[in-house]
Amino acid sequence: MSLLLKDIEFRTELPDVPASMPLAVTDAQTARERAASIAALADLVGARDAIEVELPFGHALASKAGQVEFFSASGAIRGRNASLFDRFDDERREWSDVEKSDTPDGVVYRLGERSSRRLIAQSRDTLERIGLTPEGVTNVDVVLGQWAQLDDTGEQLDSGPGRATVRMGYEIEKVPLIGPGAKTHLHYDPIDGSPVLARFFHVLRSVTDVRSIETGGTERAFDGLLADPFLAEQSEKGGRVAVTAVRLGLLALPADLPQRFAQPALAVEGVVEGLKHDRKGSYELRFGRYVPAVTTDALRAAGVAVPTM
Amino acid sequence: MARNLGSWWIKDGIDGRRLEAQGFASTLAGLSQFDWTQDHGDSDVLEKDFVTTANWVERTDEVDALMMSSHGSPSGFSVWGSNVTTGDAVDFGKSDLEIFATHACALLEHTSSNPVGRWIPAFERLHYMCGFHNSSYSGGGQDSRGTWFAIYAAWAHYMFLFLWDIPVREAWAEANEIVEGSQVQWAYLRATTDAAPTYNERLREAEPSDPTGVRSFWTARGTC
Repeated sequence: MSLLLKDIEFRTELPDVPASMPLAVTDAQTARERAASIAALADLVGARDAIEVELPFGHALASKAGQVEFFSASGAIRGRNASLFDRFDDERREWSDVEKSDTPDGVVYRLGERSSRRLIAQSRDTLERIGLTPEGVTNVDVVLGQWAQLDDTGEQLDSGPGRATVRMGYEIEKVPLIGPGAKTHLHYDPIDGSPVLARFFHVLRSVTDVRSIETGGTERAFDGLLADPFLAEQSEKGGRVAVTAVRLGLLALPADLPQRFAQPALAVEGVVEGLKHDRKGSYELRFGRYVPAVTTDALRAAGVAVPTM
Repeated sequence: MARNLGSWWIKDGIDGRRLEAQGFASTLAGLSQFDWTQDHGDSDVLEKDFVTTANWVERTDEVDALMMSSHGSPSGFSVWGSNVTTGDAVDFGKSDLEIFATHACALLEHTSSNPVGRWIPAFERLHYMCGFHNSSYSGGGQDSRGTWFAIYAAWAHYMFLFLWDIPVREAWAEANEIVEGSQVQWAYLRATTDAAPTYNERLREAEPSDPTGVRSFWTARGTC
C-alpha cells in the first residue's frame, strides 16, 4: 500500500520543483590528485613523521599525534589533531566572544559576529594552504557545539559552548547539493585564546558534466515518500503523517560510496503522530528521508540509470 | 577477556538499517578483543530486552556496547510491536552495558521544554547514550554508520599499532559526519564521576570503571 498526498499534513512550505533540473555527472578525485592536500593537512594537524597505511576505504597518513584519511570512493579527506583529545577534561570550551540567545528550543550559544568572520577568514586561508578551493561554495557559517551539565535528578546545572565548526556547503547551477557528500567542515578548539584546528573534513566530488533532467513537478517529486513502507505501515496503524521540513537539491552520497551522478532529490523530515500503545497510550515517531525527485525513466533519458536510490 | 557486542535492528523496509547496526558489531568481531554475541532483528527486537521485566534477563545487558537501528522520538524508541519510553523501567547497565548507540531520531533532544534529563533514570551503570538531537536520515547511504563508529572507536586502534586512539564521543561524531548532512546534529548523554571520568573514555578490551555513586551527567551536540 502507498500513501496519497492527502494522507500527509504538510506543516512547511513545499519547494517549487521545476519541470527540469540539473543532474551532475560526478567523479572522485584520485589519491594522486589529493596527494599535496593530504601532505599539507598532515602538517597542519601535527601528523608529522606519519606512516602511510592502507585502509578498507582508502589510505591514511597516520601518527599518534594525528591522522589524515583519504576516501577513495569520493576523493574526500579527513584530518584530525589527535593531541587535542585529552587536552580537555570535559565539554567546556572557553571562547572570548560568545553570544547567548534564548530561542524556542532554549538557550543557544553562538560565536560573536566578529570572531565568526575571523574564523571563516582563517578557514579560507587554511583551505588555500592545503590547496582546496573548490567552486560553488555556499552557506558558509560558524556553529558552536552545545553542552549542558545535569545532576542525578536531571536538573540542569550549567550549559555553554563547545567546539566551533566552520561549515561550507556547495551548489551546482544554484541548486544546493544536499546529503552527506558535499561539505567542508573545519572544527576548532580554543587553545590559549586562539582557535586551533582539531578536525577537518572535506567531501566534494568533481563535476564532469551537467545535464538536464525532467522531474514531473512538485507532486510527482513526493512519489518516493508516498511509497515508503514504514510510513504506509504507520498510517495503517492509525498514525497521522506530518511533514515538517523539505529541502530540494542534488543528492550527494556519503564519502565512502562511489557516485557517478547527483540527481534531484528531496530531504524530508517529519513525524508520525497518534500512534497508540495498549498500555502506554499515544506516542510519536520522527523520520528523516532522502527520496528521489525523478523517475528511473527520466534518469535513463538523461543518459544515466540506477535501479533504486 | 573479550568485550561483548550486540546489534538490534528493525528494517522498516530499508535493509540499510540492519547493516547500520550489524556493521558496528561485525567490524569489531574480527578483532580478538571483541565478540559479537547478540544480533536481533525485526520480530526479535523485544521490549523486554530494554525494559526490566520479571523472570527475564535483558539481552542488552549481556553486552558491553550495542548499536540499535529503529525509529524514535524524544520520549522513546521503537521495538517490535511496541515503543520503549522514558516512562518505562529502563535500567541500562544493571549488569554490563556501557555504550548504547542508536540511530533513533531525536532521542537525545535537549531543549528547555524537554530536557534530556528524562533519560537519566535509564542510566544504571551505563556510561554513554549516543544518538541525535534532531532527526537522522535514511535512504541516502547511511548504511555504514555503525561500521564507522566501530572503526573510529576501536578497530583502527587495534589494527594499526595504536596510531588511532579516538574517544567514544569523538568516534560517534566522526561516524555521523560521514553519513549525515550538516543539518543533522549528533548528540550524546554521558554519566561521570570523579573516580570514573568518562569524557575521554575509549572502547577498549579492558573493562572501564563504572560511574556510580554521586554522578553528574553531560550532554553535548554538534553538527554532522
